[in-house]
Order: sequence, then structure tokens, then C-alpha cells
Amino acid sequence: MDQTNTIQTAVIKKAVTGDGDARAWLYLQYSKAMFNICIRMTGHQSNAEDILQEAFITSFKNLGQLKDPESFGGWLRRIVVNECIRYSRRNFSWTEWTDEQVETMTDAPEEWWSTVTLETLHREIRSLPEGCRQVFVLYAMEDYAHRDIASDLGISESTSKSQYHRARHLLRQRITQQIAIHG
Amino acid sequence: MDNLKKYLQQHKEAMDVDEPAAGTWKQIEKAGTQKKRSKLVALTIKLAAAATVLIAVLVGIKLSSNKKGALVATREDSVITAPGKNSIDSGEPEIPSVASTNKATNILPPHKALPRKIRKADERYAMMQSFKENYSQLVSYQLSSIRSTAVFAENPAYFDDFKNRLKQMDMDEVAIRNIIRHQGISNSLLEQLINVYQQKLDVLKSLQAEINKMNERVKQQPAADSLNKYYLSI
Repeated sequence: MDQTNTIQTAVIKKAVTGDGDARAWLYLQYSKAMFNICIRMTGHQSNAEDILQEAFITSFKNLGQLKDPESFGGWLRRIVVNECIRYSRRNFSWTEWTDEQVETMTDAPEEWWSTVTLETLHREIRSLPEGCRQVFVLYAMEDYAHRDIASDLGISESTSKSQYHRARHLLRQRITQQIAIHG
Repeated sequence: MDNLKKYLQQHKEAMDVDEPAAGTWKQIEKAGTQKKRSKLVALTIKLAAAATVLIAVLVGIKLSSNKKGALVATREDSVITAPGKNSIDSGEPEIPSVASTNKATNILPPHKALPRKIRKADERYAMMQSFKENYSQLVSYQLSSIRSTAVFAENPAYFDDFKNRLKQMDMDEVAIRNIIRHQGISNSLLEQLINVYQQKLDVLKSLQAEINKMNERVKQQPAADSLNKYYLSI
């Protein structure tokens, strides 16, 4: 781990100077994880690639501002998530949202989410409807608080909560249906 | 934390199954090179513009000081060459006396007579004034262009960030001007002032680009014609 950090620190120092190989190394290390955030947030391959591209360009441009090279991963993740939020705000009419009430449901006693593969879970999250998908990803995967989601997406905190529950409900419904069909 | 969230947090990395297209890196690399090139072009333009302004200011200062010098000299000359009572009386042509001619040639342009420090400060003030005028023109041009652009997407609040940044820069400009008023002008303060103007222009350019980008996106959507448009008030 220490060695990896030392390598990363050295690579970042080179990348700051504009070194193409160093930047390519950083891209190889982080692009997959960052791309998966983008695709879960946007639901579309090409949009996710656009955001990934923007985020890497922004990060390389501002690399000189990064004080601790070891924290590059977290820093890049924040840039990626912020780009995704900006994209969502631009392309989805959040103003039309209401604090719709989603039927409260209790999780089945068995943990339904562990009955499918992680890949299936990822695909199902990707195909959630606009709005509730972004809230779900931010809350459950990026560990944002509902208060922060509300302020970033320009919605109310209760809308954020209700959309999270809506996403959970849909996920559960779709996954249990799949299990019923395919076993 | 609910159990689903806990589960997802624990297995987040294993869920990263998708991969970006192979060409994505090439695009990033290309954009990086283009940006570098455009940065260089922008820097050259900025330097050229700054040099032009500087030359204009220096020529202005030179001309105005020469004028003042000439004016002083002319006044002196008029004293020197003013026909004396005797000459009128005698009806002879005016010939300045040797002593008075010497006096005239000894007169230097006023700025040469001033201490160097004061002269430099004067030049800086003139430069500041010139920057203010030139940049103000550019800023108001950008502002009027933005104000006349119809916005089809988002709501005006989306642009608050840009407005706040502009407000902050206005405040920065006032603060620098206050310092100049109290402490006098220095090269570093002049530089700070130029930076503020430059940043203002950059923010306005980004705002215009953001509006254009969003309008483009919206226009590609099928129901674009039915969208409400509005104009930004900044």
C-alpha cells in the first residue's frame, strides 16, 4: 500500500507538469471506478463517457491545487460526482418533482438484495428511472446525506428521502420478479 | 445506516463492472493538448493586448508631458520674447536678449524636473486609469451580449454562482482601489487590479459558454419550441 502511494505521489508530481504517460497511468488506475459512478448516475454509456472525460480534464487542469497526492482518488471522486450532479441538474427537470408519498414498505426478512449477483444489482440500479436513480446512488453508494443531496440537486430533503425509498421499492420489485422468472 | 446501504458500501468496488470505451482516453488526451495550445494562444493574445495598452499609455504620458513641457517653454518664451517697451518704442525687430535665451534653453520638460518616485507613481496611476477604461469596455460588451442572449434551459437561480463570483470580484476591485487610495499605487497592486479585470472577463466568457451549451442541448430536444425563454439580469 505504501509503495503504491509512493508511486502515485511520484506519478502525480509528473502529471502536474503535463507528462502524458503519468496522466495515462492515473487514467488507467481510476477510470473504471469513476466510470461506474458516472454510469450509475446517468444510466447511459455515452453520457457517462462524456462526464468521465470532463472530470479527468478538470482534474488534470487543477492537479496543481491538490495538496496531498495520496488523496487523489477521493479528490477525483468528488470531481466526478460533482460533474454528475451538474449533468443531472442540467438534463432533468427537478422542479417538477413533488414530495410524492411512496408506500412505506418493510424489507423482507431475508435480505433480498443478496439473492442476486452484484453485477445484476449494478444493472438494476443503472436502469432505475431518472431522479430516483441519482438520489439512490448519491445516498446509498456515495454516502451523501439527504440534506446534501437536497441542496446539490435543488430539491427538498423530504423529496430526497421519498425518492430513495421509491428507488429501493423499485429495485426490490424488479429483483424479486427476476428471481421469480429465472429462479 | 440501513442494511441495503451497508451492503452496497461493502461491495461497492465489486460492482464496478462497466468499462469506458477505448477511445475515451484519446479524447481526454486530445482535449489536454488542445487546451494547452489554446492556453498558449490566449496567453499570447493577453500579452499582446497588455503590451498594446502599455504602449498606448506610455505614448499618452509622453505626449501629455511633452505638451506640458512645451506649454511651460512657450510661456517662458513668451516672457522672453515679449516685445519690450524699448523695442516697441524703437520700432526695431524683437531680438531676445542672450540672458533670456539661455533661460529658455535651460527649461526642462516638467516631468524631468520631478523626483523619479513621483514620476513613476504618476505613470502607474495613468496606467490604472487606462486599464480601467479598456477593461470596462470589454466587460460591458460581454455583459450586454449575455443580457441579450435568450436562455431556454434551467432557471435563473442556476446562474447564481456566476453572479456571486462577479459580485465578489466587484468587491475585490473596490478593496484594491481603497488600498491604492490609502497607501498609494504599486506594481503589485496594479497587477492585482489587472487580475481582477481578467477574472471578470473569464467568468463572463464561461457564463456565455454555459448558456450557449445549455441552449444547444435544449434545442436538440423534441419539445424545444414549447420551452419558455428568459433573459438574465446581471
